[in-house]
Amino acid sequence: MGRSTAPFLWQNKCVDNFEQQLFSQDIKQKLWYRALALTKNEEDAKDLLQDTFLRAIEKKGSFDGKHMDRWLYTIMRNIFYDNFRKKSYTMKDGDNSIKQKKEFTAIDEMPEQSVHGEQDLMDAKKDFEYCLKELSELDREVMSMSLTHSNDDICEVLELSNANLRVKIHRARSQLADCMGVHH
Amino acid sequence: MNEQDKILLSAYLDSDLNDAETAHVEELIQSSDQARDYMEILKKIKLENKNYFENSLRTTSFKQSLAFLDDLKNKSNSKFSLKEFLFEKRLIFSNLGTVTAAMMLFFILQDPASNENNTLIFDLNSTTYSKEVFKTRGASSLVDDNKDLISLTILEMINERSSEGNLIYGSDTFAIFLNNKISEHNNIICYSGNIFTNGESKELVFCKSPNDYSLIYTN
Repeated sequence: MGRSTAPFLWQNKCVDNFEQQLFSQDIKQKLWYRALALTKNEEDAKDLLQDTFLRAIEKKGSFDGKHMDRWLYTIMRNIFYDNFRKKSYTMKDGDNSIKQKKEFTAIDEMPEQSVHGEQDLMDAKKDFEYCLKELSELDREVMSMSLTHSNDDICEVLELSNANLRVKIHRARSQLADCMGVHH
Repeated sequence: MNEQDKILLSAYLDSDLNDAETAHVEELIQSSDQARDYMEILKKIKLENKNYFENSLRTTSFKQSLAFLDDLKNKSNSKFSLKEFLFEKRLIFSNLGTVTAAMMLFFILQDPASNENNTLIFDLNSTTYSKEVFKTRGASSLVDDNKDLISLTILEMINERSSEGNLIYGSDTFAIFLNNKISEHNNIICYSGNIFTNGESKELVFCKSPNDYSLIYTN
């Protein structure tokens, strides 16, 4: 009697399940929001997102089968702290002009608008983007996660109490309102 | 309206209140123009936030990311290709490292001398090599995520002739033990051992040549 193939089938099923979860639309969106909140710009968010998936595939043996999003967030934060923040610190401390140049370039590269409505929308987007960048890293993460996660999940991932999370969300909204000139 | 009321109004917007708090906020909205105005501001900010992130899904950067991920998914689903595995642009160093380590392991297992590894003399002393490394906020404490740091520490342990290592990484400690010398051939020396941290334990094989070194976790 030959060897049972069951363990191999089980293993393949696990691998399929891992990839199914990893490449789901929900995960891609959540990770994109998180990457954008961390890096503060779309180009770096793209690199961070791609590096996170590559690292996840390399490390799929360490995934315990539960909470794919939380596992990926940990990977993303590690990559961000190892690479991206170091890079932005270098730019900030070492050559401020590079950072400023990058910001100006980004605005210069905005597509020219032909319709007034679209122009208004674009202005509002730029205003909000500027104000969001003024928030602390943690507050930006909270604001991005509030769109895709329950408060209980956010508390668990960011290790915050529920009361603390409420305060953080409120303060972030309040700071954004001040920054955008919405009076209260 | 005090600060606490404002926090409750914000939480009300997220449906994050208990029954008593909900009743309090609804009463506040009924009775106070200021509360109603404030609620409108919070709603506007919440909407702007939602629009900002949702609009980002339509940017070229996100679309390029999706294309990259589709490509990655197809590659990971396709049959294994040694050429692609070795020379995938972004993974080239880690893949070559893995292959080198696998070749070393193969070499050890095939080496007739390794069948007589009881005759190899363990040449490290029972001293402890200690090292402290600054840890940045948020950096991982997992053994798998700190392989480079651990590899370097083991190399330093061997250079110091110590069989025990104590790597202090922020508030975490990795206890490393080299227990046996399992191979020595053509200037390539391999040791087996264990690493322990925060209840996590891994068995390891570490090999070094005059110019290179490699760490493999065996469980």
